[in-house]
Amino acid sequence: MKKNICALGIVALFFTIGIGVFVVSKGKPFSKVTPSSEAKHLEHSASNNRAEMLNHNSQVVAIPKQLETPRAAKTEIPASIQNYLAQPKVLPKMAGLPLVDAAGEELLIQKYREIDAMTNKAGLIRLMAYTGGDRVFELFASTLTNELSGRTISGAEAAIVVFMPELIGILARKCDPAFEFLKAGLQPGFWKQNATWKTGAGPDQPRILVGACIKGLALSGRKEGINLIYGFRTRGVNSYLRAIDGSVVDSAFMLDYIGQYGFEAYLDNITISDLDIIMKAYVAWTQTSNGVAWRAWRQRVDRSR
Amino acid sequence: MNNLPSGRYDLYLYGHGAADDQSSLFDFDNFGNLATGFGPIWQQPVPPWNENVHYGVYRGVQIAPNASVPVYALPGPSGYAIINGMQLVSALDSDNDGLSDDEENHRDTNPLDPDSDGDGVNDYSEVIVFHTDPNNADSDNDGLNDGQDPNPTEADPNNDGVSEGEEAAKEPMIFAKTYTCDATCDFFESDRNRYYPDGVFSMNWERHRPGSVICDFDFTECFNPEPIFQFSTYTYRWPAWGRGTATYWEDFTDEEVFAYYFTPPLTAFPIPWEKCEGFSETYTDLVGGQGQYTRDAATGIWLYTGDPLWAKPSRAVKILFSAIDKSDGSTVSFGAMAPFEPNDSWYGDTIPPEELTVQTTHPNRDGILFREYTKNATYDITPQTDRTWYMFDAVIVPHKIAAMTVSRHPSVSGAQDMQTVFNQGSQLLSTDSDGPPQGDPLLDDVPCYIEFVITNGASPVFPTAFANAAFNYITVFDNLVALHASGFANIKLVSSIYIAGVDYLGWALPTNPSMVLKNGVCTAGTAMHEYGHLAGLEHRGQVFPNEVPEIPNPGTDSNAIMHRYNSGGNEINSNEVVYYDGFTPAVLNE
Repeated sequence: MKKNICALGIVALFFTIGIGVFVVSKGKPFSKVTPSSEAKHLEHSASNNRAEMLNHNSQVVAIPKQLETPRAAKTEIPASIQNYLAQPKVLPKMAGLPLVDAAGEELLIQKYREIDAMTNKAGLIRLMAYTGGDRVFELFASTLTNELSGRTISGAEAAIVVFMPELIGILARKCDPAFEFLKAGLQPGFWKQNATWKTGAGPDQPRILVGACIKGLALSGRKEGINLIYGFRTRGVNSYLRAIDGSVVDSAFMLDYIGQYGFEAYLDNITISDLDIIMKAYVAWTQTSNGVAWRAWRQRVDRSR
Repeated sequence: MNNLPSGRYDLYLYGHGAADDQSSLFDFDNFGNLATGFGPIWQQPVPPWNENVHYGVYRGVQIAPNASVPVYALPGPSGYAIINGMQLVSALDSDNDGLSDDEENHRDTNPLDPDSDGDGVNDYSEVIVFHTDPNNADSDNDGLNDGQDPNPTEADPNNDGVSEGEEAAKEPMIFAKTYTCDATCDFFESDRNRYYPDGVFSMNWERHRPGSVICDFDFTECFNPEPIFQFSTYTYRWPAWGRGTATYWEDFTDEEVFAYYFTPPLTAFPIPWEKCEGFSETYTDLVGGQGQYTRDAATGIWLYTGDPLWAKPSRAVKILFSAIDKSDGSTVSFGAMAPFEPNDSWYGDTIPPEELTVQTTHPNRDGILFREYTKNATYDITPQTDRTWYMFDAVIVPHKIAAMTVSRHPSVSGAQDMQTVFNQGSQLLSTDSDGPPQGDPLLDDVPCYIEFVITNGASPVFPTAFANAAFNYITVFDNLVALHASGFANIKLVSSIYIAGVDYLGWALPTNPSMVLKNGVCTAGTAMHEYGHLAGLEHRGQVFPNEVPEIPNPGTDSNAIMHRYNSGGNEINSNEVVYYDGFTPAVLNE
């Protein structure tokens, strides 16, 4: 059901603006769906239990080429979110943040649009990933595949942009197209074709984005995502695996951390912390039996050149 | 030309080609010793040739005794070369260094100084024998002057990453100090002389070796108010002490005023010191008077290692000037002239220590480097102002040396000079930006003295295992950990560290004396921040709620180097300095 809701929103949008939809599907043609309703968004909002947002079945990836002008807000943004909106550079704590409805998403997107520099909305985009849904995914996907096209972005901007697939992973907990987007993003060719913005990483940029998608899978909480990550360990070694094995190990760490402390704890203790805190947690994990096993796997992959 | 007397000559050639106004080519053979700095073939100036004006000249031709100097005219474009005349002129060499004045002018050396750059090698030898730069005392920039450098054109002949100068470096010492002080004391009351200050004081100390101090000072007082005034001038002479013999003060009448006797070796005056007090007795009648005291003082030091080799091409010598407290009687008392022993305050204010960083410069040809520290001050005073006098000491600040290696990812171009960055970091640590201790000790900046020597690792670029792009544009925890844990260098330069949406400048963990730094933007603050982590320091304070650092580093101060965001902070506190002082990184160079 939720799959339909998410896909619905996207399709309705693209029908509205009359721009083609790029569809990636696992052998299934893209199926047109009926327009979404705000009631479904409110359904998200009513449920603040992220565990309930898991959805394992989505197949469709739609990459928006352009977003329509944000609609006017029809709802009040909760105070806890308003506080963060007042300081969009501050990285928000996820704990206690409610989901917003469609109108709330529009407000967030409007705020996003008002701020030019990506570096000035580093906190806002996390807030949007935590509290938003379909529309936020569309925005993020559009940013990655369309809005930055041709631009050369600075190091600080690049850090945020290449983190977006991980944020899409958070959105994928409640939005099927987001999950499909991540799966499509596992292929370097996807990024070569669709992410035409430039960072200093040059030809390494697709690998970085594929790695971010793998981490996004870990954050999606979806069984299919977890299976994909664990499936890498049984794959035959090839150049692709050698290029992304580090991200796979990172994802294994993320899954273990989330499994032990919970999803919100990961976001609040790791992703908004500083590098030292993150890396200490990671180093501690490398000394666990699972961490040792994953790193040993990576060594085998790397040595198999 | 035959049977020429030996010597150096300028050879002038006059000639032309087929016609008077045509150019041609000439050559001469000086048994292989061609005129220095000039090609073997001289071509006449471009046409039109003016025969009575233009000529060719070979300067500084060295002629052996009774040698012959064949000169050839080579057919030029016209097919002819005609020599009209030759002139051999003894080259003028004003400074007798073997290079003619003309050639010195050509090379921008000083024709009146045989050793233009003062490096101990004369200009001729630099040009002809050693092929060094006669205008650069250290031609290979390795920290050794050419005259002291066994390989003056090679900075690191053994290719160990350490320059010759650095290898030969010795710790300099202070071998001499001087102290000068000029002070005036002037009260503004109407009954004082309005043209002259109430007191003028000047003194000069020179200490050339332990137990040898020469002190001269003059003290002039204006006793009487205007219009009648009278000067009483005292001139004191304190001859140099030698061999522990008695010495004494005399006034201008040569009568002994004070006598002091010392037992050698004399250690009572190891420092230049100041004694600008002496006005109090004169002004005890000025109850409530206002005045001003000004003083211009300078402490000079000479640094020397005992021989000319103390090159420190990339290091700094830190000299700490500080008023020291001798009120415990550990120094000489001047009794009636100064009722108080010196302490570290002046006119009621604590005198903060000042630090002078002697950055890398070459000592003079005697191996000596002079630096002077000046201190000018003006104080508002009253006759009752509580004041004392103080010694102003100069000492070389002891510091530890932390050696580390650096390596960069092969794709990093334009690698930052980490020695420069860490030199600046060293200065950052040594700076006490807020002066003497005051208030909250956790907020008080304290100096710390570490000298960093950064050399290339055995692998100046990352070894193969870390050569792929994933270790240059780091987005993966595991890559960062693996790079950090590797032992091929202490400092690893990469192009970017993007973790969880943040563009980080560096990372370090004390599990390995290694840091990963973003090339091109690494500041002294970043380097010292990460070095602090290597030393075991957590971030200053607990910036995030619920964060429990492994080793609490209390206090919050956005100016702290160890502040989480380290946006230009430059301070360390007394808690942190213990970590910096106590840590010496193992050199990673596998």
